Amino acid sequence: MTTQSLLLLSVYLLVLLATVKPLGLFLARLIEGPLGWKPLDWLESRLLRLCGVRQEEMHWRQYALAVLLFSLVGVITVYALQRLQVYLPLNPQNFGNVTPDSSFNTAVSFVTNTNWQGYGGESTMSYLTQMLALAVQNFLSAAAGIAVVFALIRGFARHSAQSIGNFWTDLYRITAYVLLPLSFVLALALVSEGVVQNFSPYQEVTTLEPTSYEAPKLDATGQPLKDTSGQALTETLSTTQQTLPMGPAASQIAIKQLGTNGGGFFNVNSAHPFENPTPLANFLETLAILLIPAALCYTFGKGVGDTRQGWAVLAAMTVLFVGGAVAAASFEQQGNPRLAALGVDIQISEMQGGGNMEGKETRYGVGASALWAVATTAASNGSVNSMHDSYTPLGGLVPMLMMQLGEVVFGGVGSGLYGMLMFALMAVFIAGLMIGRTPEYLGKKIESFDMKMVSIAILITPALVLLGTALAVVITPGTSSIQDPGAHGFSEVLYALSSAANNNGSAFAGLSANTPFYNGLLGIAMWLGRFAIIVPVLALAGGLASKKRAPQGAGTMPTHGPLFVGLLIGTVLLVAALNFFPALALGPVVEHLLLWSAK
Amino acid sequence: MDLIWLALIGVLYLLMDYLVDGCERLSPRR
Repeated sequence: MTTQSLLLLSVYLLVLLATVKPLGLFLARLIEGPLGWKPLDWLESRLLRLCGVRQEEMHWRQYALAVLLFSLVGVITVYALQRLQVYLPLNPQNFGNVTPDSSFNTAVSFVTNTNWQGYGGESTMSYLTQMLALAVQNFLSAAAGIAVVFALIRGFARHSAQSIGNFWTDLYRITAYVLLPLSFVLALALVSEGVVQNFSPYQEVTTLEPTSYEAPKLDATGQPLKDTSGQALTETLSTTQQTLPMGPAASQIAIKQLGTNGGGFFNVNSAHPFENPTPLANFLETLAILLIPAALCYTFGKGVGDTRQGWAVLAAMTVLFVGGAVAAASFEQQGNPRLAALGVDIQISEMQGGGNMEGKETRYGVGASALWAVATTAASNGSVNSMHDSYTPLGGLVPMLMMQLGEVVFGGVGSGLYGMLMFALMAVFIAGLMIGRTPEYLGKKIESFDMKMVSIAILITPALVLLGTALAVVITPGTSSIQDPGAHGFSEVLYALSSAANNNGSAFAGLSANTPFYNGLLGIAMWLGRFAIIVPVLALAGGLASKKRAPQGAGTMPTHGPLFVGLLIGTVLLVAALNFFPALALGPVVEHLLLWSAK
Repeated sequence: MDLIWLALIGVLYLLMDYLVDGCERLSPRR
């Protein structure tokens, strides 16, 4: 790891941690009531009444059904907008309707806050689809995740209660008072750095130098020509024309980062110069990924009346994050021995940063690329500024593992914190077993029902990842999309399922996943990976809210100190290791051994 | 083709509806 990478990580953490308390405090105000500013409170009340919302407290079952119904309507709307975009306005490039399987995948993807993209944005989606379907879901899916963690915090904070809040008011307040203002400010900052924001048709420009490229050779009827062995014939062409995509990108990029959505306006996401043009834009976008998930830890502490609890959770997340960031940067800085053997200079020098630069922007280098890769997979963001498929085997293992930890190292907005709290309950349960006492967390006794809900929430994603990968690597529709043979091909499939089931959305791009099989499989994984966790989390919140809060006694295990932080980190790592070590051994670990033994 | 994918969305929703019922049945305070 270079000094520059270390310095970047340090500055990043300092700025991030400085924002935790003010933003967390503001979020905490929204848990138990309206904003407290009369004009906005009046507007909120009128708008909710207009929508037919009765602002009453909900039982956990009502809350869960509201989340599910809202998401169902979201999926159908996004599906319909894609299937009808050719008949709708704001389509200057006249893109056709998206195929049914891709529409299904994208609809589930954006509603579940995954933003896995099997399509290329600038070559598939009209401006209307980008804004009304995708950007709207960026806001709403993020708000739904935060609403669920608000409900869980209420579950811990309340005692002998039957309700955990109102989903519709939570959704409104988070969207209107947090996501919209933050996105507006970030979008303006990004526009000032050069990110595009317009409704212009794509621009045809003449380049300074001609570009050569290989293209299939066609006959007079436009069919590809083949040689005697059946291989397609190609020819080298040269052009001085280039098409520059345009569109309302900045507004979508701001929320894709802040809402841990990750779906890029352009196909190469934040590696595109119109999406991420400068080092400052890159820093702001990387910061935006973890901004809300980190602040929510403080919100949690404030909500349960003991901010030390929130700091403890944040400490566990930060330790895991720093470990991942240092590991990824170090592995990438080592470079690729195969490229070195071909004479490529991978050493750091006055003229270059060195390391493995395949798939990375020279504007950012190894340090800023590895930091983004770990931030985007620690959080369930999934946006990229470099191609993870081109990382060294162990460098690529790190982002894969960050997802497989369950997206709890900061994680998605809301979902990361409620995921980490499931591990906190697991940790106190294990500690309780070791010392022979009934486990307690924040004064609530953790009983059989609670642990059943925790177990469902923790085990659903490993089951989806491992069963889905196993299916994809044994049947032809799964194997036919794999670009690379051997261990790396297996890694591509394992990464795709890890990303989908954990609602991340990033990819090892070598897998051609825009097929009916992968669109269906990954869509199912995304849906179950989101809602089969949310339902038990809300059931748990309801159960906790109905319990009494016991005062701390001499036998209560403190959950705000270094011992608990260590236990929490150990639990997260242990569960991931037990679930994923064999699969990782077959993929990136084997590939690493083969690479360095030069076989 | 649209009907197949829309039906799948419906099935996924119903699965979660059943999960809500299942969790409620497990709850000791229902």
